[in-house]
Formats: sequence, structure tokens, C-alpha cells
Amino acid sequence: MADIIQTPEAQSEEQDPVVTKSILWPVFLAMVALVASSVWCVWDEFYTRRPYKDYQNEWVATAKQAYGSKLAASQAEWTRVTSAPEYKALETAMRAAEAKVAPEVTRLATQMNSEVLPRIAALSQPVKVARSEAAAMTYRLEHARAHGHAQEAKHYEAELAALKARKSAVSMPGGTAPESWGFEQMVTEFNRLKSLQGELQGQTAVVRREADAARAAFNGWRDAHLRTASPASVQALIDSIDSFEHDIKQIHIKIDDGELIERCESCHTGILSPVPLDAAELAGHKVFASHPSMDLLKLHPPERFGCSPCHGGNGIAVESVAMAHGKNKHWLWPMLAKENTEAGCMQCHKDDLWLAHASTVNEGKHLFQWRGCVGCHRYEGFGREAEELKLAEKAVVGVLKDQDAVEIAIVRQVEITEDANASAEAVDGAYREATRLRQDLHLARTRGQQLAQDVASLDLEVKKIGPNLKEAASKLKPEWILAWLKDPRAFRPTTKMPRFRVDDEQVRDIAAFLWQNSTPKEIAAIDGDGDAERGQELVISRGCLACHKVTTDEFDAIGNEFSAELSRMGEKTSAAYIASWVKNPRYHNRYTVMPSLRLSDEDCVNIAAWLSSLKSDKAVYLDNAAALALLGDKGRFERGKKLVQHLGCAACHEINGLENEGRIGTELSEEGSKPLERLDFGTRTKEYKGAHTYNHKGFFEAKLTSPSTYDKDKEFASWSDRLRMPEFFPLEGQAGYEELKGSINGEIDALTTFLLGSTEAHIPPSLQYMPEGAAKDIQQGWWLIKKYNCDGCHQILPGATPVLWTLPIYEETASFTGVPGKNGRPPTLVGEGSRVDPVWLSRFLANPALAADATDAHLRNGVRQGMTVRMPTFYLSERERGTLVRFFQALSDLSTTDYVRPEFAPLDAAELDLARSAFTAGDCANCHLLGGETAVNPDTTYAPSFEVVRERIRPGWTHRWVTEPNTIIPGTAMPAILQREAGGERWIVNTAKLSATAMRRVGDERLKRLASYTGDHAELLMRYFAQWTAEESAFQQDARKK
Amino acid sequence: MDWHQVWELVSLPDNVPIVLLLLMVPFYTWLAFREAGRNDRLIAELERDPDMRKTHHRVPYPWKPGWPKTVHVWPHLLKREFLAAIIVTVVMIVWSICLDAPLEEPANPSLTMNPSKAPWYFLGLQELLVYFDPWIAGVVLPSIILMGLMAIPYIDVNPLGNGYYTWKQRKFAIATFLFGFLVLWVLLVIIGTFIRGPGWLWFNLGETWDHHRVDHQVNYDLHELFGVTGAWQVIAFGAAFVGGFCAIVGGITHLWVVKCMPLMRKRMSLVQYATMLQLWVLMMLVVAKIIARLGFTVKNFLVTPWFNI
Repeated sequence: MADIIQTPEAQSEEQDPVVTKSILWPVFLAMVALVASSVWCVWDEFYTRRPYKDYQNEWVATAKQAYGSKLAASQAEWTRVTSAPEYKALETAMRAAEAKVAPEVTRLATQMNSEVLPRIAALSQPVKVARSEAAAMTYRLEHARAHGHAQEAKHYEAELAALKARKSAVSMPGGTAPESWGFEQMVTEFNRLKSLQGELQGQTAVVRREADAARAAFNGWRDAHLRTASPASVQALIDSIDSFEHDIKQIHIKIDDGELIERCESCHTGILSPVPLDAAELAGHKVFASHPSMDLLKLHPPERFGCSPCHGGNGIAVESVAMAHGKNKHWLWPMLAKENTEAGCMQCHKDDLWLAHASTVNEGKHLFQWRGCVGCHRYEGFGREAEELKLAEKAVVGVLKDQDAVEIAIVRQVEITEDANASAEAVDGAYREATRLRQDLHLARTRGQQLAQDVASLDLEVKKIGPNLKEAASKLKPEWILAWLKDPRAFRPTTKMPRFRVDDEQVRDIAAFLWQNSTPKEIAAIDGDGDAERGQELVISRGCLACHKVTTDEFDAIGNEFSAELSRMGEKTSAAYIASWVKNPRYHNRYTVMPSLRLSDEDCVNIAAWLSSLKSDKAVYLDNAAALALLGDKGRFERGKKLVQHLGCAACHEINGLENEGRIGTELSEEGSKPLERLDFGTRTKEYKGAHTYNHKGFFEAKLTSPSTYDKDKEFASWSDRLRMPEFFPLEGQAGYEELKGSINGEIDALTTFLLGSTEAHIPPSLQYMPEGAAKDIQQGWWLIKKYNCDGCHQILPGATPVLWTLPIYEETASFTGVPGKNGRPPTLVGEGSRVDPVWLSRFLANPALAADATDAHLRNGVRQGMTVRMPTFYLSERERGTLVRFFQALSDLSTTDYVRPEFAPLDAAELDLARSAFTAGDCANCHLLGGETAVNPDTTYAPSFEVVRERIRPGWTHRWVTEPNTIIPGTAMPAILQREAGGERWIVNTAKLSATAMRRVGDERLKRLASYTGDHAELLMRYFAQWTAEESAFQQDARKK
Repeated sequence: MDWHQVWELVSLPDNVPIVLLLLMVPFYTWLAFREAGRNDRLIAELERDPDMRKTHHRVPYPWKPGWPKTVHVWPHLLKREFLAAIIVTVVMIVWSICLDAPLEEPANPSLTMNPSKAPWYFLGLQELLVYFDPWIAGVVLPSIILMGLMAIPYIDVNPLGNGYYTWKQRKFAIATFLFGFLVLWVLLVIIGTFIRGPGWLWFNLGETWDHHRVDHQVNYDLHELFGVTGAWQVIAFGAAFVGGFCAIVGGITHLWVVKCMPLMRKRMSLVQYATMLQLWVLMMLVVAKIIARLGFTVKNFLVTPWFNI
């Protein structure tokens, strides 16, 4: 290297490292590092970031065996189905049909294969070429003309003509040498062959029609009876493993303006397997197991809904398990934990109080309402009635104010007209203004009336979950109040009332306030001592246990938890109060959900006698006088009032002066998507972050388990700065823990799931469930079914078992005397919509006795008069009755609006006689009442009374009921006494099933006439029932006596 | 000491450049000073030789008599740059494999993240928001900084130090740069990254970032501390304080330059010198403001209805 600057000094011995030192080694090492990092890069891309490849290898290794293990069962099932006589018969029929059409089909196929198809094949290529050349030339010609190039157009015309005149070589089958065909000739022949082909296909279809039908019936029967996949399809699955492609498996869904890509199946390869596999069959690999609920997937097909909209997680990510499951920070919707999976349902089904396939969310919603959470926490959709009532009341005040203002304005205008000094125009204007104002006033009054109706209706609909404390002093024993408030679960572990963190002094303050603040309530005086044994019988048999739980002489804690447990009632209140309460609950608490069971005075006293005898000998109470002195202490009133207000007692109870208390809790409608920073973990932030529970789930679970948990280590200026939420679940060591520990975690999971699901919907709008019409009616109906616990007595959906049905007295096998057994159960309401007239149903719901208040008939059921269990009188508003009617109609796939009661031709004398004979012969009056009876044997006459048949029943339903009752209600006691006439369509009375007594009552003469009747007997009965009169009741009463 | 919190901060892919910055900036500063020391010694040695004095004082260390004073770009520079390029490529590849892009959730207009932080290289500017009005910290100061940086080649025309490290020849320039960059930029970036937590509160390293932390921070305007009241009196007081501060700092700097660095003053025209002095005084004002706020809970020096300093 040349030295630019000449230096005079001596040369150094050393070499200049900058110029002479080699950097080969560093460069070499750097290059090695570069190559290595590039290789790593590729490895990372193809293996590290694609962990699904390992899963897929494992799948290929295990799936074959797993499917293989299904083969034997499938084979057995196949054998079972294919050896069935029906299958054989269908197969024979199919083969016969095939054989019948075979010659004709063969003839057509031969013609097709010899004459048509080869000629089409020979022509198609030359025709295609010629047509496309002509089309291209035509295009040029048209455009030349359009642009005014006359010369060119002429040229193209000539070209086109030449093309059409040109001969092409066509080798027709059977021909010896290629022929030379013109354009027109080719196209004509080609079109002819095509239409001939269509014609032959059509003919084949017509000829094959019967054979195809037989084949479809055969296949259809087989598919309907096969409970597993066929061996062939299992084998196909096994074979498919060999050609399994190692790749990202994705579902691609176009939604709204965007798209949803789900790659979950890349690892969860068996999730949608047509043959369900569980982890045990897959060598313990849970990841490959099939979706546990294929029925649910049928409603929400993954190819339309994807996976992550319901489950959370990041459907597009395949980099790692954590990423795909959305467990990385900043992913807003991490996959829900297993116990909270159903939170995903709430995306769309917030308004559905009851969902099939979602027991956890159902439970969570139920608990939120049932435990009274909604009293303190607003939640969109819950406690709607109370909110609407408040709004309506406010609106009434507004309307009244408007009315006053308008009235004053009218007076002013009138004054002007009466003023002698006013000008003619002014008077004229005033008259007109007054008229206009009077119209306004009229409108305001109309609106006021509407609002008053709304208020009256909502007043019936609003419910509070706790008892009315306005009558505390008239109802409760003072010493009991003190013990109860200290820890309600110590008295009764199953109570809904939570435990408040109050000390003894505060308990006394609260009790004193409630005691002094209550209004004396007159207790209905009912005479009689009451028979406790009879009372117990009534509680069991009248249906009380559909809502309440109680321990009877025979059974420990039977009944339902919907309402308060009735044990230890005697320690709480007096017999006189209980009697007055059961007689008319709404008199004591206008917001109670408890209906009237229409009990006689005697029944009330008996029930009160038994309930008030229920006491525990373990209880230790303060002396009555001492308790009274504490509760009467005026000094405690103000302190108690403050506590009651602070703790939000008025959320569940009615308390004098606190009717308009607002909700004290935070709104929870979208609590699940509240930013985490806005949840106050108090001083426990660090602890929760460390335990990886610094998330919504962790917050909710800890808060529900111990509501004061976030008060830990905090310094409070006053007692009231503490967290207020009471304890709904006992902690270990607290009263009630031993009794309830089995259910606490389940309930907390359910509520946590409910809260986690309480988010703004983030799934695309087009996937959201927005019910209309019948679906909406069903949705709204469930709120009432659950509000009034209809499903405690009635079966609403097929397969459901109401609590009441499980009582020993209603067991299927209950046969001991005096016990109603299976036939005494409240009726199933499956199919109720198709059974009853909607107008009648609404009337029935308003007054299930179908009788005036003061009468004896009012005490019994209006329809099933023989039943001991009562359909109670609920105080339903008209709107609620409408909702329930629509609900049942919708469940039966019927709409309310299009129901018109069909009219029938009146029965002439002969027909009437025949119908009467059929009725008597069938011995209908054995189980059915006829109306007007005084004494009823409950053991036999449990069936609905004929008194109401005319208004109650949809005639179309009667026809099916009398012919095939078992298809409507499987296992019904209703006998099928009609049969199809041999070889005909007609339904006739099956004389073999008639009893001798019944036949004797009809008489031979009339039976003969009935047998010779040429019409349909079911039709006859349907018309008879649809035009039932009191006269018929009397007639059949007489017939029964014979 | 919340090690979980420390790890969360240090391991955040966003913060990795700053962790590297923490190590690299001191290292390169040290390296530069080591080279500068060697060069300075070499220069001193060469300057002792009257023949070499005029021509050879730009030779970088190491140098031995007879070695070339300068070398060609090709191959001597380029081959080293090639090596550096390979190493940087390797580092970038490994980095991109090991650390993924720190993506966060989609922006939510109704929810501001807390703490809400600028990209790491802007955190110094964001930290200035604590001390100044938004428009001063966000508009005026960045503009002055940018214009000042652009003006440097025109203010400082001294060719010494071009192409080699030196400290002795460029003490003032290097010290000013290091102060402005290391203290006023890098340090503020580090504070903004590791120290400022939710609510932009000061969390010492290792303290848990608690969103519900309650803190007591009351700051006063200077005139409140001095009990000045009245609209125009406050403005006059503030203006006098700021004006006085600038005058005193400017004056001291001037005396210092004249006394200790006469040569530098002589090399500069009046315009160059005045511009330099103004930028210097402004920089000191920022420092004074930070010290006053963090050390003495002083909010503003000058309070006017339109802006505060």
C-alpha cells in the first residue's frame, strides 16, 4: 500500500496491523454464524412455530387404532340392522323394483351408449373449435362496425363467411374414414344429439321412479336405525389416516365484511370426527378427542360459527398452545377455562334464561335471580319489572303535572274571552287556543289512563325475594330476629339470606329499627285449633313441596329449594300468622311470588298447626322479655336505620320509608369485559399476579367465596368504608358449611361463568342470535316459567322431571292407598299449545278454579277437579298471561294470531245418539268428570273435567288424542279405544277394549247402531266434544248411574 | 422488591432495546474515551516534535513511525464494514427469532391504556410533559432541539477531531453533547420506560405497578412559594425569574468560555457564539426545571394566562 504522505522518520520494525492483519478468521466465524442463524431461522419457521406437526404425527400414530377399535361395534350394529326383518323386506322390495325396471333401463342405456355418447364425443372437439373461431370473428366484426370501419367490417364479414363455409374433418364412430363436415351441419347434429341425450336421461328417470323410491326407503330406514357409522365409513376413516396431509387445517368463514379463520383442527384433529372418539380410545390424548356435544354442534355448525366465537382463544394462531388458546397477554378473549366454557353461550344468549346444553349458565342465571343478586346489582334484563314500574310511576307524575299546566292555561284563555275590554281578534284567538288546549288535555288524560294501567299491571309483576318487613313486629318472634340476623345460616343452612358481617351490637340496632319501624298488620282471625297431622298431609299433597322443602315424619328434607325451607317455622312465627299467610299471601306481602292455593279456612288452620309445631330443641334464644326490651330501645332506631340503608336490606325486603332506595351495588351487565384495572384487588394485586389469578375469573371467584377478601390489610376511617357485599356462601368453619360444602363450588363456578359471559358481544353481528316471532315468545316465556317456578310442578319439555313428580307419593310405582301415584301428578305441558284454545288458557291462568271467588267450587281445580294437588292462583298480569300463552303456542310450533276456532256442523238426532253411545261405551266418565259433581273420588277421577271441554280443547287435537293418545303423551293413562278399520282409513270403536259394564249401559240395540255407522268415529267424537253442553253432562251422569 | 415486576419490565420485547441501551451506551462511551485518551497522548507526543506539529496531529492511534497516516477505503475499511454487516445481520436474525413483535390488543377508543407510553425513543420527550406545558414540551422544545442539531455544523466549524477520537481538543463540544444526550435524552428515556408506571407515577425499580396506588404529590408555582399575588405581579415575577436565570447562566458561561476557552471564542463569529450561548442557556433551563420539580416540588417558574414555563 502506497504511503501518501512521505515521512522522514525511520521505519518501524513492526507491521501496521490495520493494513497487514488478516480478518479472515473473524469473517469466517461470522459467516458460520450467519449460516447457522439462517438454518435456525428456517427450522424455527417450519418446526418450532408449527407445533401442530408433532400433534399430527401423534394423531396419525393413534387414530388408526382408535378407529379400528370402533370397527367391531360398528360391524355388530350393522349386522343387527341388516338382519332385521324390516330391512330384509325393504331390501327384497327394492330388488324386486329394480328387477322390474331393469329391461327398460338397459334398453335406454344401450341406446345412450351406442348411439348418443360416442357421436357427441366425436363431434364435441371440432364443434368447440369452429364455434370459438366464429365467436372471435363475430366480435371483431361487431366492433369494426361499431367504430365505423366499413372496410374492415367488410373484410371480417368475408372471413366469417369463409369460416362457416370451411369444412372440418370429423371421424364419426363406425365410419371408415374422416368425413368432411360444414359448420352448420356440425352444429345441427351436435344440438340434436344433446337434446336426445337429455330426453333419454329423462325417460330413464321416469322408468326408474319406483325403483328409486324403494331404494330411498331402504337406505332411509337403514340410516335411521343405525346408531353408529356404518363399517364402510369407519373403514374409510381408517384408510383416510394413510393419506393424512400434514398441513394447517382451517375453516374459512366469510362473515359480514370480514372473515373468520379457525385453525383449531390443526391440533384438535379429531374434534369433528364423524365417529366420536374419546381420550381413552386415543391413548389418553385429550387433544384429539371429539367435541363432547355433537347435538350442540348441530345447532352451531363450526363451518358457520367457527370455534373461537364461543370458546374464546385465537383461532388463527398455530404458533404455540398458549397463543392459539389466547393465553398470551393482550389477547382480549382468552379461551375460557373448562368449568366456565358456557360463558361463551352468553355472547348471544344473554336474554335466554333457559338453554338446552348450557346447564352451568342456566344455573348461573338462576342463582343471580334466585339469590337476589339483582336486588343490589343492576343487570340488563333482570329485575326488569321493578325498573319499568319506576319509570311508569315517574311518567304518571309527569303527565299529571302536564295536565295541571294545561288546565291552568285553559283558565287563562277563558279569562280573556270574558274580558269586556279585549279586542275581537284577541277573544277569537283565545277561543281557538282554548279548544286546542282542551284537545291536549284529552290526550294527556288518555295517556294518563294508559300509564295507570301499566302501573297496575307492573304492580302485579314486581316481585321481591325477601319477606315483607313492614309487618315484622306482627309476624316474627323478637328473640328469633336477633338470632337470625346474627347468622341466618346458623338457623337454616339452606336459606337464601346471606350472612352480613355485623357484630352483636349492630344486630340489635338493626332488629330494633325493623321492629319499631314496622306497621301493625291485622292477622286474619281463623277459628279452630287445627289438626297437625292433617296439616302435614296437606303440605305434602297440595303441592307446597314444588317450591318448599320440609322434613316430614317419613322423609328427610323433601321438596324444592325454590322458596324458603319450612323447617323450624314454629321458632320464627305463630300459628295464627301462618294460617293467615297461607290463606292469602299477597295480603301480607304484595311482592311475594307465592300464589294462593285456594285453601279452606280449615285447611289453613291445619297447615298452620303442623308448621308451627316444627321446632328444633337445639335452639337457644334470648328470653322473650329481654328481647322485647332490646327491640323496643328507641335509642337504637336511627343507628339501625343507617345500617339497614347501608347494607341494602331494601333490595330484597319491603321496609317502611325505604321503598325508593336505589341499588347499592355496581352494575354487572358487562362486568366480564370491564378493564382489569378497574377491578379493585385492593392490596392483593401482587399476590394475585404471582398466583396467575390476576384476571376476571380470579376476581369473581375470590369475591364470591369471601366478599370481604379485598378488604385485607386495609385501613378504614369508618365501619361503613368496608366492602358491603354479604356472604352468600359459608366459609369453612362457619355455620352451614358442613351442610352446603358439596354445592358451594358448583354455585360459584356457575355464577363466575355467568359473570365471565357478561360481556359486550364481540362476535360478528351476522352470527348473533336475534330471535323473532316464536323464538322470541319462547325466550320471554322462560322468564315467567322460572319466575313462578311452573316447572316445579309441570313438565315443560319432553324428558324433564319436575321436582314435584319426584316426591314419593307421585312415584310411578306408588300404589298404596290414599296416594295419587303417577296419575295424580300435575299434568305435563308438553304439547299444551296444540292442546288448548289460547283464549281459554289465558282465562284459566287468571283463575285456575274457573269459578267465582266466594263459591265452594273456587277451592278446587277448574279442569282436573279430582286432583288433590292444586293449580294455584297466581296473580299474573294480563301481559304475563299473554306471554305464557304465546310461550306454549310457540313451543308447539303454533302462532297465537292465526288461531280461529273451527266451526262444526251441529249433530243431528241420529248422530247425537251415536256419539252418546260411543262416549258411554268407552267409559270415559270412569276417569273424566262430567261437571256438576259434588262428591269426587280422587283415586279414579283425576282426568280433566268435561265441563270445560268445549272452550278448552282445540278440536283437531281431540281427534289425535282419542285415536293415538300415546303418541301425544307417552305412558298416559288414557286408553286407546278406537282402532283403524281393517283395510280402511276410518277410525272405529274397538269393541274388544270395551268393558262389560259400559256395554251394558249402552245396550245392544244402540251398540249395533254404532257398529253400522259408516262415518269416522273419531270425527264424530271430535264434533261431540266441540259442541258439548250441560245437557250432555247430565245425560252421561245418568248413563253412569245405570 | 418485586422481582416479578422487574422481570416483566426487562423482558418486555418493547423494552429490550432500552436494556441494550443501558449496557451499550456506557460501553461505547468508555470505548470512545479510551481511544480519545490514546490519541491525545499520541498527539501530545507528536506535538512535541516541531517538525511534526503542523502536519501530523491528526494521526489516530495506534501509530508507529513509518506506518501510513491514512489508508484506503477499499479494502481496509470496507472489509471491516462487511464483517460488521454480517455480525449485525446475525444479531438481527437471532433477535427476530427470539423476540416476536410486541403486538397489543386492538385500540379501543373508549379506553386509554394506563400507563400510556410513546415508542421507546420518544419516551424522553414524553417525560418532559411532566415538567412543561404540553405545547412547550411537545412542540417548542422538539423544534428547538431539531433546529439546534441542524445548526451545529454552522455553529461549530472547528475541524479538530474529524475522523479520530479526541477529548483534549474538543472538551466543551463533547461534554455538552454527552450531557444533552446521556442525561437529557437517554436518562429520560430510561426513566420513562422503567420508572413511570400507571398514572405516570414514579415507581422505583422493583416496586409493584399498582393501578390503585394512592400518592401524595402537590406542587407549587414559584410565585406561590414566594407569596407573590396579583395578576401582573405574578407574570412580572415569573418573567424576572426566568430572565434573571437566563442572564446569570448566560453570563457565567460567557465568563467561563472567555477565561478557560479563549481559543474557541476566537474561532467563532458573534452570531455563532450567540446562538451557541442561547441553546446552552435553554438546555440549562430544562435541567433547572427538572431539578426544581423533582427536588423542590416547584411546578412553574413563570405563570401566564397563555403559557407556563
